[in-house]
Amino acid sequence: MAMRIIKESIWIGWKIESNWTDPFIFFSYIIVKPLAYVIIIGLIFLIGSEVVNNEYFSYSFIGAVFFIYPLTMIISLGYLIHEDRAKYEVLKNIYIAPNAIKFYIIGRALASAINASVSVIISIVVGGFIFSNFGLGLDLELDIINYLLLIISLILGIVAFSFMGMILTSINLLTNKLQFSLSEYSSGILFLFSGVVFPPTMLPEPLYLFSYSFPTTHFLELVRVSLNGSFALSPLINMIITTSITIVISIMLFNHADNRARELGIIDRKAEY
Amino acid sequence: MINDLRVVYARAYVRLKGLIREPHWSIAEVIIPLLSISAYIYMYEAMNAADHLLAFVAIGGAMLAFWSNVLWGMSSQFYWEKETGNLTQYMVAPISRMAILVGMAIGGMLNTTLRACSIIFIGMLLFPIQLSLIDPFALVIIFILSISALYGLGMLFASLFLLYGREASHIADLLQEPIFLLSGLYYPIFNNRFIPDIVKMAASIIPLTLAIDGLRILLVLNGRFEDVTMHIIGLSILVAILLPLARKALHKLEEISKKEGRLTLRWQ
Repeated sequence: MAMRIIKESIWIGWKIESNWTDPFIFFSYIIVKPLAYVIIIGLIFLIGSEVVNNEYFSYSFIGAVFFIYPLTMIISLGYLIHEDRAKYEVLKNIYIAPNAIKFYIIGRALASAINASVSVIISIVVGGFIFSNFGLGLDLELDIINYLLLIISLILGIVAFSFMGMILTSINLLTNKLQFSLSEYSSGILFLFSGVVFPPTMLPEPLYLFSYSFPTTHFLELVRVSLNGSFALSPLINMIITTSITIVISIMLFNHADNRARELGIIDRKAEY
Repeated sequence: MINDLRVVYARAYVRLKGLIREPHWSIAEVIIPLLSISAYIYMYEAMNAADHLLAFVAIGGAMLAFWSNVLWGMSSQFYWEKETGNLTQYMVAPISRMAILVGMAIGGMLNTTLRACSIIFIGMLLFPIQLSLIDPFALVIIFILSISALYGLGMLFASLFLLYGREASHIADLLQEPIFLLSGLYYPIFNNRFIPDIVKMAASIIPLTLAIDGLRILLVLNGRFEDVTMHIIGLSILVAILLPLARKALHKLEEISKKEGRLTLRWQ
């Protein structure tokens, strides 16, 4: 039953995220935006560094590219409740279906992960090609990548980001004014504190420690390790721990928000007409 | 004329009142750009980049507040109004639609200026950013022309977005990172050997590009009026083109929307 709900919601998620325009514009959309974002990172690197440092470029570039996963998934789930409640008015129908809501959210997160995967692949190929012309290499060799670790990192990452997104849906269940700022806050905080484009050690002492509480920090570290063809146990363990904590917190929060929303009768509350 | 001014005041009032009614939105619009500004400043610091680049990021981040307001507060506004049911009221009221847009723009300019100043101020507190001003007159000219051109573009987009349904928010979303890239939000665009001249020329069509570069010259590089003459000319041309174009587009697209029955159509 759960698998069926997830499968159907991936399909709904895909339709909602893609059928607002024709396929050509949609694919341009999921390519142009992330590509522009990684080119910005590359240009900052070219302008800011006097001496070419491929190691740091790879760090920032890989971080920026794989950050597309949490960015896409969290923004998508941040709007989910608002869209389904106020725009499409289907949240009440999803609630009526037995035990559907959590699996529906997971399915929608997976649909975003699929879109993010397309953006990541295109960004890494095109962005890597553009900057190789400026002497900035990614130091990526396809035959040395630790594919097993990369796959494990991606699976753990997608699970973690789905449940991080569920935290936002919990908050949005109880309010109808935060959907925009909440997604932007979350993605901004993660961008600053997850070691995306600079090492977290650059942050002042207490904030530097704070960055290690996010699964995103360990996810990016794991991806970098796997792309270098090596293996490191410590980020893997940290990733598993932070993902597990995220899952527990998000389920607890969601259950609480769900009960509270039912008590207050605000599951289908709309701010619009 | 008096009636138009009353409409302008009424629509601007909503924007300004929003500052007090939903203070968390104003706080968010200061903090959110600061998060990305901080990340890019740390990135420059990690590379031991020149100090002026940090100030460039702060100026770019402050102007990001204007661009966000133009996109979400102007361009998408008629779409939101349609979703919330206000557009019908605007259309049946015997008032100038252009006056509504001007009111939205004036309200947006005032509260966004406040946010942009807060972003620069907090940025200066958090990071070693130094700004200095030699020619305040040139700064006032560049700033007025910049926001006029930016909000002129916002009015034009608002008219175009009248036709849009669900795609409105996606189109506005699409006008973020690519525009950040072309306008040099986090790096200099014109004094940049890595960007081809043709791209620089294309980027000059975007008011944000000239605005950011002009402000950086005046506030970071101790420039004077003569250093930003080309920016002033470019922005003046953009204002002269965008404002009448917005007016024309509004009439045309309102007509098309009415013919195709899209003005009150939701859930497209």
